[in-house]
Amino acid sequence: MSDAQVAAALLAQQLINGLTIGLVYALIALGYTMVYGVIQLINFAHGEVFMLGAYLALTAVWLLTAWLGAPPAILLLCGMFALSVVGCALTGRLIERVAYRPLRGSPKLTALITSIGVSFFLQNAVMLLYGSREQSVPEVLPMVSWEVGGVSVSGMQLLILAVSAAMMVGLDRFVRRTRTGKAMRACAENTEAASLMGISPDAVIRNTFMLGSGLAAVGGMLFAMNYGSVSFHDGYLAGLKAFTAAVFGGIGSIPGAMIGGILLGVFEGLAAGYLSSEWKDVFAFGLLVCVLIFRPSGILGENLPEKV
Amino acid sequence: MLEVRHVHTRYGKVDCLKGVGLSVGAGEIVALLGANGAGKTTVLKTLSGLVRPSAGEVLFEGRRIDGVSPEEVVRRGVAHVPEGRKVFQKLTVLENLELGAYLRRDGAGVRGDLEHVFALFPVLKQRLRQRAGTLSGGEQQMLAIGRALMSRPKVLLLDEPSLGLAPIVVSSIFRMIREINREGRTILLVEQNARMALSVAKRAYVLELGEIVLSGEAEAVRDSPEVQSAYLGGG
Amino acid sequence: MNGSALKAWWRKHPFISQVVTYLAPFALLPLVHRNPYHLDVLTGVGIYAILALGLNVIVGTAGLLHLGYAAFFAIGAYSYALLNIHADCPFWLGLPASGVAAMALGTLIAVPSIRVRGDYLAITTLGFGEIVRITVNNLDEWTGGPNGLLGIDRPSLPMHGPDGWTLRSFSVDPLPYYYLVLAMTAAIAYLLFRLSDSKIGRALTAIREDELAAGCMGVPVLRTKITAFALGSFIAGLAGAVYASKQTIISPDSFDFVLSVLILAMVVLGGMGNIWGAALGAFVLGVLPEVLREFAAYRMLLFGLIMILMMIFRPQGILGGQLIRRELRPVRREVSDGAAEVKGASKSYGGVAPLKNMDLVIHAGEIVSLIGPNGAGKTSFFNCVTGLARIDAGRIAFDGGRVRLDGLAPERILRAGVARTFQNLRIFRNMTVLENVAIGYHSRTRSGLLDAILRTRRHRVEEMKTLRESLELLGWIGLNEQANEIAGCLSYGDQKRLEIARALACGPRLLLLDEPVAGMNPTEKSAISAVIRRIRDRGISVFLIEHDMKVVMPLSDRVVVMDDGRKIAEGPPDKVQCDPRVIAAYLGEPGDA
Repeated sequence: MSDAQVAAALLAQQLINGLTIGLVYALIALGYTMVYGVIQLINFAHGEVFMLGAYLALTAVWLLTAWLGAPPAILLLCGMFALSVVGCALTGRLIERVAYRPLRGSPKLTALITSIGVSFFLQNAVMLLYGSREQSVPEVLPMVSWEVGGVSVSGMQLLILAVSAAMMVGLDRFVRRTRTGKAMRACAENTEAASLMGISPDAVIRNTFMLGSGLAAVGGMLFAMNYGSVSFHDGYLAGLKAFTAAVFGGIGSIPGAMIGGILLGVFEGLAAGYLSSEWKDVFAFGLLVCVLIFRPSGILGENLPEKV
Repeated sequence: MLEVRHVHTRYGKVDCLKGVGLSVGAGEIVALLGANGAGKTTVLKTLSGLVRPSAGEVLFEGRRIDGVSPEEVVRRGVAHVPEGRKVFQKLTVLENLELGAYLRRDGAGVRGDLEHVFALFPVLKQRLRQRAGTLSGGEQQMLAIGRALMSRPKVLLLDEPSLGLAPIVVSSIFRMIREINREGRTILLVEQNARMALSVAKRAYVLELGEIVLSGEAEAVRDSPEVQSAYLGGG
Repeated sequence: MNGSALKAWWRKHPFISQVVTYLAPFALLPLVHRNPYHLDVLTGVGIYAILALGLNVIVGTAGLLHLGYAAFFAIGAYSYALLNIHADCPFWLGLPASGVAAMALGTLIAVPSIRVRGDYLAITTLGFGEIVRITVNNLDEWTGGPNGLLGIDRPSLPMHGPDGWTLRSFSVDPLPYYYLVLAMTAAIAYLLFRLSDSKIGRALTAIREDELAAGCMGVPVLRTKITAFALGSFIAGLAGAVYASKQTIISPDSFDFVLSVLILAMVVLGGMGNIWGAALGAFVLGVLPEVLREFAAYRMLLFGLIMILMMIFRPQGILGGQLIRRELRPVRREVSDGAAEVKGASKSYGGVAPLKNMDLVIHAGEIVSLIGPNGAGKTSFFNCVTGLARIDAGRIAFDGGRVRLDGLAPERILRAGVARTFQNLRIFRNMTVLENVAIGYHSRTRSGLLDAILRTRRHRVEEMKTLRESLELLGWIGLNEQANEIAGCLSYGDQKRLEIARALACGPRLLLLDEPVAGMNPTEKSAISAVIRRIRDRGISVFLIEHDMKVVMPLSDRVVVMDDGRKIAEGPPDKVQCDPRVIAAYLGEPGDA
């Protein structure tokens, strides 16, 4: 292959790898953006929910393998999905009820501090339950990959693409077509007016948390399968990056979170490939800081005027 | 049908309502008038559950609704069209109207009511799939009223429907209000534009600085000199 | 000094007495208890205390949530380490240098970040903190990378021994460090006390209470916030140098996000804004891991739980600090005559036009009232004149046309001589009545941070003048009995009066009052009307929005009526009352039906 072809192949590879992680970021970012849209809270603990999702998926594999010896892949996948989504949705609901609901009228910074406390608690609880060492994830799917013109795409990457696309389409349908989804959008815009329609803000907030946590759980499951190992540290970094993606795309905007996640993953992949992998985290944080300072409304957000 | 007795409401340290009492009979249009800061919006918010009175009671069809959550108030049949319309800007006209019927389970009834709203406000049908934020002020007001009607309320609370609207639009809105009342809906109308409100209402109350200072039949209130002084002071 | 003079001096200097009283037990402890491990732990607690005191300035006093504080601790540590290793810099020189280095970085970060909204600011500082940590981790040749730096010198002091004066360096014995840290804690606490009771401290509290109102009263909000950031970073730098010299080995791992949160938790636990609270929080959270040694694995769990429970049940902390409230040069005072002119002011946004070609003139020494139905645009107009909103067309001029107001920031407009009150009453609720009024003098005095901490002559003189004139003003308006009460405890009528006094303290020639008698009873209303007349008699023009016609009509020299963004009538009150256009605007046209 010529030099240009090699370079092009390298670029394409980085893009594919970046897209893969970007889709996972997007799944997590959706949770941040939906919660912020409804109650204007930065849910610091959301990253840990993602991490919990990864661990629950792993647990499902352990349990099913222990019970059934060598279960078929499809059963494993369903089990992982079910356990992580349900477990995380319930966790998200519990967190909202116990830690955030009592602070509904408080200053936002109080709630932020609480969410940091929740994140520490959750992170440590998982560490105590599962041990502080990294856990490896057994192979669920056979490792296949295809090579096209010097670019390799693994089956796992295709799975991630398929599943996250399905999730995002599903979310979009849900939010735009169903009664509950419309109630969520109404509440995000004007909670008081929504309550005058008979919409219960408490119920909407609860649903938002559960939905966001479920999506993060799927992200965790895909993450675990893709990288083959999980560690209780994973939530912190992934969470911050996903938050960056959410703000970058426009906080409160669901399409924004999706676009932001994908773009962040791609940019990060390019930075890692062409600059240095050591500095790729700095890139993400640098983007975070720049967006917050210069364009806090993000790509798809409206320019939020300061209200007097 | 709707009764307010000796209601006191506070915002922080300020006594917003000081012993307000009024009543609205079934099928009536009653107007609540007064200058800015008189407390008119607070009365409606107390009725719809957005604000809790510190003393007094509010009764709807004989049952107390003070302190009840806004969702429950809607369920019981009281719909509040808030000041400034507050339609959901990012949602379409249709979605706004559908949300008005959020609590209803009867699909056929909802569809029938939707047609009825279109009959009242034909322009809404034309703009069905447009985002509510793109509508003009008058159209948003119609949407807000239509949205409230979708819950099939027994009582409609209207907060300053003429606010910020051109006079021609205001006239047509009030024509529709009269029409809605003719269909049998009870209406409590809060307005600053006293003449307009008195032209449609049967009875009226005048609120000044948190207290009812005048009440009676619409013509009597309209002709009384107190109304003018309540708004403009002096004599 | 004999006994009673000593006592008097003690009472006159409450800060010194507090610092000495609370820290004396720690000073005396080693005389009775010499366990080196315990002393070491307490020294660590002391370093935490210094960090907590520094973060308290940023978070507690100024109300800016900072999640990246460990980065400045790191900069301080690495600065001293590098200076020492490469330039043989002794500790006592490296200490202030580290402080300055950290302060420089803090200021650099603060300048772009400070405009960011509250919760976003927290994440911004987190981002910067991580950037610093990762950078330090990656710059191997400079910082030793993940392995860090070693061989850092300890401090040394001249000691008199058998060979005369020699330089003896600290050793592994924790005792000298113990006293070093204790002395630094005492000194920093003392200086911070001085700050809190000064013009700058008052400004920081006002910013935390209500940033918007503080800005409108002349406090240079952005600059003051950056000052708080810089000071807090400086203190972290000092702590870093001490830490580096004690450990003699430093690596990036010690300066992570968890540490930033830990320091924040100390500040919050003790009570935000409370100096002793920060120290107490440091003590509790520093000693706790030692006490609960068996539960070491559960440390983070407990820590998270403490933060959650604290915010839910006692957000003001143990000692009761302040909750974070709302998101709030040499001055040449030109003598202007209070005349203002607005020509063709228009404003529109998002399909709404609150001002359409508005014209208005206010003459010197007039009381002009602005009335109009709901939604007429009165408050928008006020906001445009006072700099909280911008007009899209037209001009607003003051002082006979000499000073253009449109486009200026509220602080500048205040210095030009225009002050205001707010419709929803924005006093500083947790400050005393006197302090509220004193804020008005902020832009009229010159002393700054250094003056405040070092208690220079200029600061002392200006403070005396400020407090004396504030008291006079309170007397004039009838609130001097409540001078030392917390503003939030006053009756509503008195609070409205306080807000007027605060605006007067800014020395305006034109006073804008937004619904000054809203919510008051008739007695209070006539009292305020009388005050407004006396303000006019002092030569200050008054421009007010009000709905109560019984107050407006007898009080005003002229009444201006707005409807739908335009002026529809103006003139003496009796004329306006009978004007059919005005009646129509409020009550509707006679033909309306």
